[in-house]
Amino acid sequence: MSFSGCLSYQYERRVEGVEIKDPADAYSLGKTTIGNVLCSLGAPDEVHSLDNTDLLVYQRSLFQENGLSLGIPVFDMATGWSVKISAAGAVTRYDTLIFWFNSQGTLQDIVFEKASGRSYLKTLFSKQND
Amino acid sequence: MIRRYFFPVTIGFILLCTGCFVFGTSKDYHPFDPDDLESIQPGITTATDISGLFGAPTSTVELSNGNAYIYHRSVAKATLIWLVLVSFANYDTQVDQIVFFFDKNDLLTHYGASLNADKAGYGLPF
Repeated sequence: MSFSGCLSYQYERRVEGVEIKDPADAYSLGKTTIGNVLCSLGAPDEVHSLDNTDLLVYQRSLFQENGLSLGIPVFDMATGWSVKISAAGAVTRYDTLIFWFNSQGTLQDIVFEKASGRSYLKTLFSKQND
Repeated sequence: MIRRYFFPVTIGFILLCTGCFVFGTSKDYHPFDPDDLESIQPGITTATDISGLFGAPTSTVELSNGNAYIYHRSVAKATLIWLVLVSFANYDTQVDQIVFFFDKNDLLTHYGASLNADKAGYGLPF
């Protein structure tokens, strides 16, 4: 038990939403309607309106955090001070599928990004403009 | 040799595995009635009918050619494991969501339903 409080490792994972699959060529620009998308994917997670464009957003998020703590509590008793070092890294990655529809409800554009497949460490240590 | 180390190694292993498990559920939830969904007909059902069936929407969005009513229910399940040197936490959040789209006359044009709240589960985070 003397180890407890000295060195500890924490790992946390949070998932929100169901898996989003690559739509590939399942939808056609200028032909697919909002009704087609709702029939195949169900309700979107978010709905937005931009100018004369309506967006349906399907999203899944994956949060991961690793933490390592090192402390020497015995110093507390002997000298009144202690050494504590801790480091943690948290990353949230999103799988996102966005449909843009014009005011007639016809598909104008589609964007898909599967970020959850990226490496945790590479994402954590990558530069912001990567 | 094996006997000499068996006892301290066993005690050490037991101490390292000392801890607790916690399972928790957080619900912002009551299920949608399937009968209510079956009674909905695009082109006939109005925004007032939807409000009468499902109550006030969680949120509304003004669209280019009408409005959307969003109904959102969620279930989150947590699994926590605390051992002496390591701790693990896993949270899984899933939702039931229905979005109704109305034209400018508040007439239902189409709707989509995703009922995944029952897929929220406990588990290890690996």
